[in-house]
Amino acid sequence: MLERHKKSLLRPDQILVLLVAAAGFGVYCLGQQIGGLPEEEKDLGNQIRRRDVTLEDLAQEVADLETQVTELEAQEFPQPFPSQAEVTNLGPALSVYVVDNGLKLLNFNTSRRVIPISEEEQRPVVSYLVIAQGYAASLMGLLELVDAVDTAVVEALEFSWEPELQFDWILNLCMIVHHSVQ
Amino acid sequence: MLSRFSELNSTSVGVETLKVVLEKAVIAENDEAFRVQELTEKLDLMNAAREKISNTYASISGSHIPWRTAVDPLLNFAVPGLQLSLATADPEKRQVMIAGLANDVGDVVSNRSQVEVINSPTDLISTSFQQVENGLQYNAEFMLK
Repeated sequence: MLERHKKSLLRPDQILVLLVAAAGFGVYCLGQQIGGLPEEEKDLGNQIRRRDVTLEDLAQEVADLETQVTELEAQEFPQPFPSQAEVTNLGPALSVYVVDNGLKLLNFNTSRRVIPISEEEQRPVVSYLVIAQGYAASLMGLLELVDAVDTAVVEALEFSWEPELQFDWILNLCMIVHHSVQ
Repeated sequence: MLSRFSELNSTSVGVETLKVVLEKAVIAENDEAFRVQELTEKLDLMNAAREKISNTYASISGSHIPWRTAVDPLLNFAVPGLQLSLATADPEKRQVMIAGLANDVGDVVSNRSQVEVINSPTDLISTSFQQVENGLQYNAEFMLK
């Protein structure tokens, strides 16, 4: 019985072989988990180096763009339109001209409003209606004040004369003047 | 198996470690690329806003008409037999129409000779006159150059 039992057990050398095989398998599995072939490592190394170069380029690009943004933010926003105050002051300027040149101001209306200039954009304007009477040359001077404002858009302009006015003409002027957004 | 072990043993860092480094590099690259895109969009918006206001100004000031220069020569003349009574501007069409009463055709011709000069800011595009009770009704249309 003892002999039979001895035969069924592995011999020590067989056990050693099995242990070595198991250890080898364990190392193999561990290697799969934590390691790789030198070629893989080399390839990964190359990829990392390429990424590093790209990253450096991108970082430089970011730095350049940040500089551009900072510079642009520091620059004053272009404001070619006259201010609302300048445009509103055209009214008093016209009135002063009328008085200084002996014209009669028959009608004077001004109002601020917003007008559409395209489907998606509106702009603020001051509208003027001026009806004045006097010599044609003096009335022309009134127009000269309007001509001096680049954003003045005349909507209606009429000079009329009647025999009872003798030397006088009547100027009827309707216009809007664009100004900057406040 | 032994050769595999020696291969693994010969690696200096380890593929897994490199994979982690690569993954971090990819994330960093994506972050920077996103930042580039973000900044580019911001710059584009800032430039577009500036360009838009400049274009709007150019469009409005470009349609500004110096009316004094345009109308003055049409009213400022001396033809004794012609009395103008109306000068009307049509800003949209860039036209000016004048109307008056002339004693005879010669006065109309004199008027034309005074307003149809080379350096005039307007071009005469049409004239008409009609006999009325006390003279000739004269109308003329001018186009701004």
